Amino acid sequence: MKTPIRSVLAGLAVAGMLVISSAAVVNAVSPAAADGPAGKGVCATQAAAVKAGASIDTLRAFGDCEIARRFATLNQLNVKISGSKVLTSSDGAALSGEVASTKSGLTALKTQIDAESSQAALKTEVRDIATNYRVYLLVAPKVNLVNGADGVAAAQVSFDKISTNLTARIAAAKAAGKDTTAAQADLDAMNAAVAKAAGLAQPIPAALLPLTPAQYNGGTAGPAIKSARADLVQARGLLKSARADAQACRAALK
Amino acid sequence: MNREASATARLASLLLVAGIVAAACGRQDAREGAQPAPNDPTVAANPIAAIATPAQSAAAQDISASPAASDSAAQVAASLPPATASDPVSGEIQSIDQILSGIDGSLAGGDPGASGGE
Repeated sequence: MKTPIRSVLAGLAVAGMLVISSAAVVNAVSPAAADGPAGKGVCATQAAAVKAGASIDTLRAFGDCEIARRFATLNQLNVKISGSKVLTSSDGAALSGEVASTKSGLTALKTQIDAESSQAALKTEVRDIATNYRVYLLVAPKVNLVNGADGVAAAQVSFDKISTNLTARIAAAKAAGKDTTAAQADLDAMNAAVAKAAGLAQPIPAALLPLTPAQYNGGTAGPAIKSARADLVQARGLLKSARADAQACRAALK
Repeated sequence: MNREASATARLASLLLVAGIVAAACGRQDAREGAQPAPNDPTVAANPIAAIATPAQSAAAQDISASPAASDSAAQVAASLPPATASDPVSGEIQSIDQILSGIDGSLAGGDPGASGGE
């Protein structure tokens, strides 16, 4: 009876390992949501301490906290970039490079802040955390909007496949003597909406990727981001409408 | 007798592993909204094949070799989601839905006002 007991134990061990590994996979992909752009209150205590009495210690604590908050956000952006299924390799590489250079710049600034002995210089350096890097007003929107724009291009590929399929179905229905007027109108509407969405999204990466914190501070990058976002909102609406057209076309052929 | 008991024990182990794998896959599918990878060409053709893992398929094959275990194999198969239509347009629409959901997330993250400034 030793052999069956061993077999059962071996089975249980394998099953246990599977349960543990599947739990580990689920946990590994769960996003950490404790910090990042939503965590603007993360440094509220340090900010209050500076307000109550600015000193080298309070300024340094505030600066270190704000840098740590940005590191958390930049790490989240890195996860988004590397996990994106729609970013083109060149856009992904450009964005990864920007996140990396922002992190290295902030690392150098943290070293400077930690070693600073002048309160006036420390004030300037703390201000530089925001103005020299623009993590929340420039880098994060750039990553998100370029990712969204590349998503529109990826959707276009799927819509092209749908268009080919529905065109063939319409031709077959026509050959069988069916009235395909409505289906053709739906397909035309779908193709027009997709083309318009792609036209709106296509210029976004080239418009956003070169933007710098200095351009944001100078007032030119902000409007470019706003405009890109508005175009992406419109493109998303067009894709949703194209999706409905595809379904209507398919239904008309049944 | 010993050989019979050994065979029964192996079968029981196999069933246990198959059940755990099926449960793990169900958990993963539930987390992802039960949507198979849309770009995989096998998904549109055979959704069950795309959902079942190789381990599951192998386990189901082994189990089906034994008449006594065929009920368990049927239970494993019954625990899988029902097959959807094999229309390739459906697969592409699923893929588009995932992309649209990603664009929604990008728009939320791409709003400079959402961060409350620097």
